[in-house]
Amino acid sequence: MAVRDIVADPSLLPVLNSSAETREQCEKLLALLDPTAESASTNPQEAVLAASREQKQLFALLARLRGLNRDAIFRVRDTKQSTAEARQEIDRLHLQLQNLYYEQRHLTGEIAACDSYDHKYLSLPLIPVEEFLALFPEHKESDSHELMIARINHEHAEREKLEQARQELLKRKQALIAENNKRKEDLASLDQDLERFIDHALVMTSKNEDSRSSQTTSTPPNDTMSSQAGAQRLPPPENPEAVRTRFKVIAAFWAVIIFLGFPIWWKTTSIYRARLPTQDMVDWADGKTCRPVFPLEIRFETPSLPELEAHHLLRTTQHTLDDLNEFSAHHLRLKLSDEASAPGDGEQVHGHSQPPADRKPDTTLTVRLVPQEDLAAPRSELHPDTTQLDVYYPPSLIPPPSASNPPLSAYIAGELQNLFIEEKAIIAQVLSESNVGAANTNAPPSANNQQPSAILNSISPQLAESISKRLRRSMKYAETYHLAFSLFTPGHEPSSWDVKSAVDEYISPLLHAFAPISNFTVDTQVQLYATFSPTAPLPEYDETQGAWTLKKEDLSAFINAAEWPLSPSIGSGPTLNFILYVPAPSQSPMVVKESSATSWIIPQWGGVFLLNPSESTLPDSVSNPPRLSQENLRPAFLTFSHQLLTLLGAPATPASLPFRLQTLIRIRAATLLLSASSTMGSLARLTESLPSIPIPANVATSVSTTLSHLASACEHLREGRFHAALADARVAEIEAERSFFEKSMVGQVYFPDEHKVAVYLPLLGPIGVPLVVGLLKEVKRVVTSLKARR
Amino acid sequence: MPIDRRKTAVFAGALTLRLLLLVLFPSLPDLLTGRVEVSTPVNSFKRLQEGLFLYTRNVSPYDGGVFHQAPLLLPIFALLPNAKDLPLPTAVFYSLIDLINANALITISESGQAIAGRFFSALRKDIKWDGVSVAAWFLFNPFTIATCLGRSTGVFTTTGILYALSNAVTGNSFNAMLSLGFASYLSIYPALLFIPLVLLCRDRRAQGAKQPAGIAVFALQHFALFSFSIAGLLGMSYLIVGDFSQFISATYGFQLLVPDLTPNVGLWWYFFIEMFDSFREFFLGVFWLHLAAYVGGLTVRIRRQPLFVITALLGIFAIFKPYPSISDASLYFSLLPLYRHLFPLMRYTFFAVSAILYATLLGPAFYHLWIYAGSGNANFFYAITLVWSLGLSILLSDTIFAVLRDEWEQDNPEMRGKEARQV
Repeated sequence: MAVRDIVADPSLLPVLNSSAETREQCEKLLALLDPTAESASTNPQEAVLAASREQKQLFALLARLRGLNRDAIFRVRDTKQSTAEARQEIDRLHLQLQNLYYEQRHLTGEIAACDSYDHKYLSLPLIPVEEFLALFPEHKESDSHELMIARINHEHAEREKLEQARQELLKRKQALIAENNKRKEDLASLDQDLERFIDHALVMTSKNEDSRSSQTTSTPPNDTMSSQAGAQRLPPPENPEAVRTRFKVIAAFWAVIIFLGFPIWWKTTSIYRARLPTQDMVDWADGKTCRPVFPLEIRFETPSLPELEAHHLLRTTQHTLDDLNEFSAHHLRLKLSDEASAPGDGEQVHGHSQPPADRKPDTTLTVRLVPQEDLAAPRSELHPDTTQLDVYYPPSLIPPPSASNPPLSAYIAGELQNLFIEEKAIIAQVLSESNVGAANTNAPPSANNQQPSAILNSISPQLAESISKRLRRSMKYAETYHLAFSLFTPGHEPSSWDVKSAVDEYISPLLHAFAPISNFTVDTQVQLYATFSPTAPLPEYDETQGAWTLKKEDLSAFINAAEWPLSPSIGSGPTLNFILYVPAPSQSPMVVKESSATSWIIPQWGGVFLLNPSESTLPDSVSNPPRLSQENLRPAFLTFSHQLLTLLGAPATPASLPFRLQTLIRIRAATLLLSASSTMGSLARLTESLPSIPIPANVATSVSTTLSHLASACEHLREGRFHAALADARVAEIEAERSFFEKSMVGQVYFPDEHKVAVYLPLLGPIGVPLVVGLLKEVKRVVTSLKARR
Repeated sequence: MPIDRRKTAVFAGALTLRLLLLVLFPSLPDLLTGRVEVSTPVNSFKRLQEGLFLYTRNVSPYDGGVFHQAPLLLPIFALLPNAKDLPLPTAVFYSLIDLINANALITISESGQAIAGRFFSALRKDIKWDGVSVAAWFLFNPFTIATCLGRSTGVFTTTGILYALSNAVTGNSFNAMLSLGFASYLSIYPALLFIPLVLLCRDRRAQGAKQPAGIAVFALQHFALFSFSIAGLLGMSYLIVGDFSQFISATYGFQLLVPDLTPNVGLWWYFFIEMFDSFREFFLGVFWLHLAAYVGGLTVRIRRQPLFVITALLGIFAIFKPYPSISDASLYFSLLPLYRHLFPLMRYTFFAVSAILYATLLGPAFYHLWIYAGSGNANFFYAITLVWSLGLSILLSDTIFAVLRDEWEQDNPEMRGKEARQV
């Protein structure tokens, strides 16, 4: 059999045997079952029995075969295992061998390198070995190494000897040269003497020849002449007095330089740097010193409640509020009004306008609880012109002292929360925009301090959108705003308006209310024949509206900035422009196309109102009224007052104007505090990074004023006195700006030190060089004379 | 006396010339008054009139910020009729001042201090001009005439200095100190002449019969005198002006701090226009020190001729003072003829004189080009003032060299007339 030829393993033989047996059994069974066989037809009963017997035998054989097969597989696995182990061992050994090979090769390489190293001594010009041995026979026995050392030492000694000899020779040469020079000089002087002698001789001979009688008198002048000839080569020696005079002259000049020049130099070029509390300033800018908090005090007036219940109501409401509030910097503090016992007086209404000098915090809001019988649920009402919230409630809702969370307090808390949500969002935005917010998140002074950005996330996106829109629209804070009311008309009428009374009526009360925040000046002007700019799209007549319309996207081109005299700034502060435009009768009425509105606001610039005079509503009326009365101006100025509020950044809700003003005060206080702090930080960084700028004393004063006002503003904020905080923050902001923009500080910023050379050298160089040279000469003379004396 | 007749002739001639010029060219004084070469902010007659106007109306003369001269001039000029309506009295007054100056020059010249002093005696004594010639040289010097007609108040300083000198050389050191105090009161810089002037007084005193006190005591006495005279004048000014600090800052503060950089013939204005502001104070110090530093050096070096030290210092002031005008130059030129005996020793006379003439002629032309024609710029005029200063410096260093040479020849008599090299 072919299988038996292949499989020789004795352990597999039983497998083969049993498999062959099984096969036979199978064939037997097949034969039995073969329908063509006779036996089947003869006795089916028997045949079935035989077949089942055969089948059983087959099953037994199969079972055995399976067992054998499993055994065989196990054995194969064992064999594989042992084979792998053996191979690993072989690999390891092979690697070792390889390493040994490398080591061997490296060592041979090193040995070769050492063998071929070219040492200095090999190139030394030594005397030959034979000569050396002849000189030192005792080295004959020593090996080559020692021999070499001995030879090198010998060479060294020889060379040192030679060097010494050379030095001596040099010295001798110098001496000889000196001698030579001396001789030469002698010779030269001899020459001179000889010349003089020859001169004398010549003169004498000539004199002698000319006139023998004057021989005696003519010699002396010749003597002086010859001495002059000698002196012409060498200047006569200075007498000591002249030397002393020169010394005095030089000393006089230097005394002026040292005793007057240097002090003046020091005094006039040193930069005055007043000391600034840099660390404090940086701390302020980083928000480490002050974390603005806004504890708002809300008074409860409960004239109809017994004190105990009122207290309880207060406490539960406070709890509910605290649970609702997630922005710890801005939180509400409820307080029972002291005047609760005195019912019906409106004094608390003006609580916010009382002088904030006293230690009491400003009352933000007064909540007045009024029982009302016929109510099913509590109802609240905010007074539009005071900061008072009236809450009407059915008496049945008065919580029993045992109730932990009564519905009335939940209702009040919810109302309050709603009232303050916008302010909270604005303040959160302001804080998060400054680095104070960022620093707050890093500094963990209070565990419950939450990131303003978290608040921003928690408020509704529409609210956030409207807030950021309004912040973009409103003006930057300024100490003084200039309001400019302008009447523009394309024709010659109206040429006058009752602007004074209109301003007094509609604007002044508002400005008065804003007085703690900013100062205002009001200017007015009337401009006739004010045409649109040539590039601006003209209004179109709209049949359906029966009016001339301006497209909304063209409104930006409405102002003819080139020709209308709208000065960008009057004085120091920004200008808010309010434009009252009276269209020509032929173009009246004029409205904005999309919304039919007649006014719009220009962000951070002002507002525009299109006034269509009532007389000219008919399209055929020919002229505008010559004068706009206060009554005509009423809608315009009401709109202007509204626009003014928006431009100044007052929040849109709630309806109560005093309430919005108070909110604005808080926002402005926070903004100014942060802006002054960051200005301080910038100033500190500036002075540190530029060591060459001067810091005048008034900057230091301004800085200290700013810091003290910042501290007191922060303190006022913490105590809840927002008016006082705003006043301090305003002072701080003004002083901070003044110190930062101090003019004399920037003068030398761009003046590098190299330029000073160019400044000093052209003038001081020519003056200084002779003085320095004179000084050096004099010093040299003094030193030599001292040496000579010694 | 023949000398007297000559003197009278010279003085009368000078007076006549001045009045003749005034009559022939009535607009000349006003023209000269407006010239920057004649009128500087500290001696301009126009500014004086402004101060006078305020003064006569009982307003502080310094309120206008224009007038920077000493207040004692005001009552003097208040006595004269208005120069606008009646120019003659003022012109006569100024001419008389010139004659007084010339008289002082004659005194100085005839004292012979320029030629022979306590410690020295010039070798070329015979080469000299007499006092009247020196006075004529002064009176007919065009610079002097222009200053006189331009009515610059610098002539009063000149008077103070010349009288201090003439009193010193005649031995009247008390009056000398008073006069120097007067000059220093008018414009600060003559105070720098104090040291050589004291030496001059002392030398003159030592030449006399009795020996003066020790040098320190002598100097202290005279310093006290000098301070006293200045203090007295300041006290009188206080009576006139009232606001002392305003007066000091408007006059001396103005001269020291040089806030007005109107062009003049000096070197300061252009330099301080160009100067960076932060270095302004420093270079003010440097310039003033530069002016003051020569006092010590020259006094020590030419100790034997204090009068010449003063002359040389006046030359230096004419070049380097903050608001120089041609009146300073004319003062220097007026003292130079005293040293006529040095002229043979000077080497660059031609060069110096031609530089000065060149500057004198081209200066007004370039100023006109710059200011009125607009075809030149400030550098034109500044270049000319540099040439002017160069000419003066050459003249100055040449005379100093001549003096040194003279002294040297005295010490080494055998070297006389020989070429020498300046070391």
